Amino acid sequence: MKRLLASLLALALAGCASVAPYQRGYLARPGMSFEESAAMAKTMEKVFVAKEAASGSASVGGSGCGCN
Amino acid sequence: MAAIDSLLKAAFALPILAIPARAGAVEAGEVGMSVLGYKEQGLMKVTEPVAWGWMQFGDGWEVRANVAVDIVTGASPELVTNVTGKPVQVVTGASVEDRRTLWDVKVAKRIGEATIGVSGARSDEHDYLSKAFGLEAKYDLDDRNTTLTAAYGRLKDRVRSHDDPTLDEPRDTDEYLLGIAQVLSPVAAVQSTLQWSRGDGYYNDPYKHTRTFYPDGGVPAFAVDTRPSHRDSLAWITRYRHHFPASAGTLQLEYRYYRDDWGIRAHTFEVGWHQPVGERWTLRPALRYYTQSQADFYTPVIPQPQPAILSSDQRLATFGGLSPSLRAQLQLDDRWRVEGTIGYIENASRLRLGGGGSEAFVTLRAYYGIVGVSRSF
Amino acid sequence: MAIREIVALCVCAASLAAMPVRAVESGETAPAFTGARLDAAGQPLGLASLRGQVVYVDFWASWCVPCRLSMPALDALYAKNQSRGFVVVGVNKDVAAADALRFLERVRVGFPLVADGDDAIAKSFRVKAMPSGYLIDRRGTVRFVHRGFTAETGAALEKQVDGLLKEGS
Repeated sequence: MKRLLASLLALALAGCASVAPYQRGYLARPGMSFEESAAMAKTMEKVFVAKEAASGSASVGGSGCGCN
Repeated sequence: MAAIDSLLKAAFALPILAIPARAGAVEAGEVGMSVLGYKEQGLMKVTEPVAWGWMQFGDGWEVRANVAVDIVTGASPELVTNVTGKPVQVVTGASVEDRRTLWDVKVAKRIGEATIGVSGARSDEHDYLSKAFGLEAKYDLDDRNTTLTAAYGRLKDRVRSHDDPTLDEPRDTDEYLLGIAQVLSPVAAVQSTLQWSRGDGYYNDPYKHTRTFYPDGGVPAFAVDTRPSHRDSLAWITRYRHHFPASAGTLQLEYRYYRDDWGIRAHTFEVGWHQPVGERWTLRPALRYYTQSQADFYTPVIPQPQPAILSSDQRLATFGGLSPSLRAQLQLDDRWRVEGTIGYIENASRLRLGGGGSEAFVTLRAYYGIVGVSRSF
Repeated sequence: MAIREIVALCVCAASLAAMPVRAVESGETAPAFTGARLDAAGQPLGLASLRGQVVYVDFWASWCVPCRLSMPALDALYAKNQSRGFVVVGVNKDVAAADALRFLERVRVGFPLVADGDDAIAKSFRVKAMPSGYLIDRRGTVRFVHRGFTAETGAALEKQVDGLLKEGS
């Protein structure tokens, strides 16, 4: 568990070459966002959660599925 | 079209989308509507209209809201029996139409480098009710190259049954999340999130049961779906985005590791390529692969002596799934956009990574399509 | 394995904790620059050529959400005070000129625009936020810096421009 967290943090901070605020042009491109159209992502998540045992995404607090 | 009616009624019950922006404040936002159609070969069919919107206004405020109506028709397998020698799924009972209304709202405010958000959600259907709320805090570091996220969610569910009017059981879940998003270069970014949850309450599927015949004859065993009354789970989701300026394409990768105390281990991989084509079109082909190992108490045949906890629900079995999809978007002008997605899902025993898929697993084949329109302002 | 990760962590944590590079602040001489015109073909625009006027150098981009508010506000300010010797220079930070031009179709402005594809101008001003605006007096000294843009920024800027225009050369 500790190693998991350490690698997570190291993975993230490994990108320490800071990108200046004015160099965000490419990062602002549509395909680069992590949450694509929240509503669609939620809909698709429900499609898969209804047929699989695993669950979990990058947000919490959504309502449950009556599908176990 | 009664479905669209219900959807619109539900959407206008959300006054939060009507919050007027202060005059002169920056307004960015989007509203949209889409319809999902999902069809399983031989089994159920789902039609789901969705309405959604988000808006940024005032001094760092953001509101998001989604409303959906889920219409499920067709049948679900309810019984696993080995009367023919091998365990098979049997669909008993007539095909039903079930309707579910879902909505969720989130309000967030930016204060300096931090963002605080509160969310609420509700899912309502005849035999299941879920109410949830969430709290989220984000913090930006290093000129917004790094974003830390911590969140908490609580779900309060009530499980009922069409077949048994006396059933009315609660299920409560606490969810926790820690995440980090990091810009790696002007063209690459990564996000990694740890989510764990603890739940207590009713997990049984009230519609599922198992019947087992034994070779020595005698009374066949019968068991209703019975699961533990507690579930601890952990999910670790990592996403990577890499933009290629030469082609203007973006590689999107996602991996999720899941484990819980029911014995289930699962891996999900998704790879997608976001490619603008010309001035107005965007295509996104994607492939998702899923593999899971079964719950400790999953069994398609009832062992002797009969355990207290068992389920033959194949969603708890050992199997793998492959799902290719293709999304196309067309920017009509600088405000309106239309999009369509088609996809195919196949869950099968033979697709499990490393083999060993459950023998009793019945291959699931399903198609889905989504069409949507949105307007930005 | 764990040791390598911990070292990487320490190095990165140290660099994060290091003093940030000091941005250009008021009281300093504005860095000289010359940029290719984005809005009109012809001679590149140099800051030196605007000496004697009050200049607002604004760093903007099509992907910067507050710029949808700042650009029209600056255009109005420019139209109002151009005859008194005020000019806005919009320095564009888009990676592709096409993105900037698409933005300008929706948000039309009358003041000169220059491209800064190689980041030379942004680096010389050590820009820390988008948008960033530097109000320079008639003698070439930066007097006010605005990071981000809200309705309040617009109101404050109008007063500051008025004050500097009254100062004379």
